[in-house]
Parts: sequence; structure tokens; C-alpha cells
Amino acid sequence: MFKYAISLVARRKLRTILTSLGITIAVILLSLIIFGMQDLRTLLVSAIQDQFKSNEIFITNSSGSGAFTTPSSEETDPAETTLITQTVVDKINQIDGVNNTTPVTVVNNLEIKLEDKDINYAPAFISGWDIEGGDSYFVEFWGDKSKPAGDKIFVSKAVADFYGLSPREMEDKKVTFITSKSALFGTVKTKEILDKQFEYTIKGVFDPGRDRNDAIISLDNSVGVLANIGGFDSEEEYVSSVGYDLLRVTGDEDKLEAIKTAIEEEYNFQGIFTADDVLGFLDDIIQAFTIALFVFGAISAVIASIGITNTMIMSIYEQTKEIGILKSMGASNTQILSVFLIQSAIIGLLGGITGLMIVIISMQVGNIFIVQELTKIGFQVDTFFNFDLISTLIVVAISITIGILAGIYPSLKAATLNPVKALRSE
Amino acid sequence: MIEVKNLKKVYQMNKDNLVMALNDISFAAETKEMVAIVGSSGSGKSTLLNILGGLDRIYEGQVIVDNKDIKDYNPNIYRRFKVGTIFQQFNLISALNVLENVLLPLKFGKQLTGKEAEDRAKYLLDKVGLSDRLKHKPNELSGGQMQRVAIARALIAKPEILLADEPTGNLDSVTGKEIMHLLFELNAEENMTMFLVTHDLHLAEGIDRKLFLRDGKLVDNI
Repeated sequence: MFKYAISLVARRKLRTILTSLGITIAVILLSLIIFGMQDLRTLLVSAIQDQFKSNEIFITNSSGSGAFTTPSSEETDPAETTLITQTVVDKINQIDGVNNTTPVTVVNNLEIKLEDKDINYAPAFISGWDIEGGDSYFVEFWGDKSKPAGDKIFVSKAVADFYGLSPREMEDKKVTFITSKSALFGTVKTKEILDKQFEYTIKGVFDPGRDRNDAIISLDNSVGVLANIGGFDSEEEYVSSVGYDLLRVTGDEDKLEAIKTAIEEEYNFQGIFTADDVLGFLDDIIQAFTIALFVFGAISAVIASIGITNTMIMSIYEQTKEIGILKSMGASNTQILSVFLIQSAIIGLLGGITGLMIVIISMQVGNIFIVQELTKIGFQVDTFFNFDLISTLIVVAISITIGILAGIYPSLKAATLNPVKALRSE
Repeated sequence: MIEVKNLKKVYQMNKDNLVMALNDISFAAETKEMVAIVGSSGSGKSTLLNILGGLDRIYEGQVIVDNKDIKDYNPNIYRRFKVGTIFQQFNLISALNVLENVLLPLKFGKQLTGKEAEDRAKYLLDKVGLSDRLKHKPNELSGGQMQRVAIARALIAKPEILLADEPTGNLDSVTGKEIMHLLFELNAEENMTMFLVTHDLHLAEGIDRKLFLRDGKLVDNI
């Protein structure tokens, strides 16, 4: 029976291959979900866990953090948004469970000029942050690890690479921050701020991993720079009018939610999030991708099923006489049914195997490039796609099931043909 | 012994048009007897053959085989174990080779399996003169050879009744005679009751028992 069914499929090779293509596409999409999405999630989770510790809360003063803040609406009047002022920082420090608060500022309209070099490093992202070189924020650190203070600052390895110097060679070099005419797209430039210069000495070089951070100066110093560029009378005026850009709150892990709730009840910051929030957001994105791929996969599977059903119905018209012959020899309805179900299962199997082969080959080839690209941007991965046999078998089983499901109607039709009429057909 | 009693078959062509394909047919055939059913086109001979073959089960009257109404048999079991059929069009499965075609009926009932089945198939193919064509596909055979394969296939499950529907209708006269000769020989050897349906009286010449059908009626039984 099985051999007969195979011979029927083999008789129409091209049609079988074309029909199985629908399943192939569905399998490719399903396999991407199985082999790719989980790995993508693991990779991103590890990246986020590197960046955001589970005992940290981040408060932002701008919508720069994108996904974690929402644009103002009638309910959230920007005028009512709380600024991260020193008073606020001190009050948050008092909340039960809070161990430490670290304000951070961001200056993004400066260029970095290394003492004897003609080219400027721009655009530069400069933070005002009282952070030690040994902080877990840094993937690697070279030089004096004590916090940046006065004119002693840290610069990133990206800047050292830009000038073709090793981190060690960068130490003790002088750098000048110059207000930029070509700073970030959309940054307001005024006549007053042009050609301002701030001089520093490098005391350490850091690797921020996947984060973009080109230089770290002390918080006080950064506020001085910002007040100067912005035309404020004093640093205090700047902080009370504009506030810090970011506040890192470190607390007891078990009290973190309570701390966050307390902050939210008391203040109306632009953004406040924990590592869990980021992971939750990440999960939402991954889920959206998974759903999208699944929907495309499901649509392909449905189209493939219709294709198989159509092919099987055509086969029945062509094989009507043969069905009559088989019935005249005593083939039961169940036996005829199985001959046709085997055919549709074989189409499903062929589609599944073809799809898997394409996926496996693409994975082998794609893996090299993806790992290369990920390594370039700071991820440490040996392999992106993780092939596993159980998932493969599940995909093959799904393909066969789709084939069988699509074959049920035509197979029943074949099985219940009247043998006399079937024998008369040409 | 096969007994046909008051067999009637009516086809309803449309609301007001009924065609009496078989009209009160009764006859009996002894075991091992060879019976020719002779009639022109539309006389009802193919309808009678379909009923005897267990393919058409909607009729009035009775067909008794081995003292049991064939309606009381499971239709699949009846077709597998009681009858073998030879068609005018040979009706071989083009995707299967000669040996596979002959073995095909045994796939459904498992009357014989394995080596036993293959030995029987080879024996029959030797009898019909095709022992050197086992692996050939039907499209590599002549009409006469295809009908020989069909005969071997009809006999593989050792049926009690062999139904031959115009077995020489698609063959030239010389090949037709050879096939008829083969059928006579095998009928004697295999102890079957054989019904040969033909519109050609010459073909029925060697057969003693003849049933003549006209317009669904049995007009002569000699």
C-alpha cells in the first residue's frame, strides 16, 4: 500500500515538488521562530542584564530613552514633569531600601580633540558621572580607576581606536572638548555656544561594551560645562532649572518594586524603569516578532494545505479508474483512504525536509556573518542559531500533520467513490 | 454453486425515466462451470457482471454464492476472496510493474503473503507466458500481454468465481483466440466457475453453457 502510494507521488514529480513548496515556506518561518527567536532573546537578555543590574532603577529626565517614556498628552502636562534636581536626589536617597543614588548628565554637542591631532572625534557622547573605573558598567578599564574629578577624565576605547592609539598610550594625554557646529541632528546651536573649549587630561580608558559613551567627566564638571554652554549664571541654576538627565538608584533587590512605587507616587518623572521593565519590554518585542512570524507561518501553512487539497483532488480525478480497479479487487474504503493520506503526508514530509534543509544551510552560512556582526558591536557569542534535533523532528511532524489534514477531505472523497462509476471513468 | 433469483436492476435516469437494466433474471451455475453471457450492447450483461462481482449492491432479487446471499457478505471480503475480474480494458496499474500488478490483490486481503504469494504470482505469470516480463511496466507490453497479466492478477487470490468482461474486446482475433484458450485451460486447472461476458457469439463457441440477454431479459438459457 505504502509503495503504491509512493509510486503515485513519484509519478507526478513536478506537481509534488511545487505543491510541497508551500509547506517549505511555512517550515522556514516556523524554524526561524524555533531556532532563531529563542537565541535572540537569550542574547538580548544577557546584554540587558550586563547593562541593567537587577537592583537598579533608572530615572530619566528626557524622552531620549524612547521606549520607556511616552510623549506628553493631555494627562501628562510636560510642565508638571518632575526634574531630577539635587533636592529630589536627596529625597530619593531617604526612601527606605535605597542604598545609593547616582545622577548622570549627558552632553552631546561637543567634539573631542586629542592634543596633537588635527581631526576631531565627533559626534561625541559625554557623560557627567561620578563612577569608579571598577564599576560593573565597564566591560574593561585601563588606567587610574578613581572617580573622574576636576580635569581628570575617562575616555572610551572607541576614541583611542579612532586615533589609532592603545588605551595605555591615551593615558595622561590632553583632550579638548569643543562645541560642535555639526553636533547631533536636531541639536539647537546658538551663536553664544560656538567655539567654547574645555580642557581635560585622560586618566583612564574604558570599554562600555554595547553602550555608546565616549567620555566620562565628573558630575560637577559636566554641570559646569552645561551651565557654561547654556548661558546659566551658576551650576545650581542649571540643575534647578534643567535637572540631571539620568538618575541611577541602587537599592535592596527585594525592596526595588516598593522603591519604584514610592518614587512614582511622589514624582512625575519622564521615565522610570528597572531591569525587569526592560526585559518585559524586550519580551513584548520578541513576542511581537514571534507572533508576526507565526502568523506568516500559519498563513503559509493554510495556503500550503489548500495547495495539497487541490493537488489531491486533481489526483483523484486522474486516478478515479484506478480507485475503481482497487475496489474491484477488494480494497476497503479505509485502505483507499490510507493510500491518499500517505500521498498527502509524503507531500508534507517533502516540504518539511526541503524547508529544514534550507534553514539548516542558511543557519550554517548565516551564523558566521551574524556572529561576526554581533562580535563587532560588543556581544560575546560563539554561535547564534542553535540547531536541535527534537525541534527538527517536531517541525517534520508538523509538516506531515499539515499534509495529512489537507489530505483528509480528498482522501474521504476517494474512499467513498462508487466502484462501478469509478471503473467506467476514463 | 451460484444461484441468481429474480434479479432486477432499475436505473433512474431522471424523474420520469426508468431503465430496467435487468428484468427478472434467474439462473444457476455449477461449481467449475463455464458460462457465457451473450448479448448486444445495452442488454444488461455488464450490469449482471457488476452484481456478480459484488461491485453493485443495489438491486432486487438474490444472488446466492455458497448458499449465502452475497448481500450478507462483507463486500470487501467477497471481492477479495470470492471473485476475480478480467476487464476489456485490462485495467492494470501503470505505476506498478508486471509482478507488482499481479500481487496487488493480495495486499488487501493477505490471502497469501511473502514468498508464497510471490511463488504463486510467478507460477501464474509462467502459465500465461510472461515469466520473462516480471519487471516490465504495463506500457512496455502489448495488448495481449497486458491481458495475460490481468488474467494472472484475477487468479492470484484463487477466486471461486472468475468474471471476464469482453476479455478479447481490445485484441486482434489471433491474440483473442490465444487468450480464450488460456482462459479455458486455467478454468479447468483452477476449479473456478467462470462467467464470460461477450457480445460476440463466436467467442462463446467453446463454451457449452450460454445465457442470452436482450433488453435486460434472459431470452435463452442453453
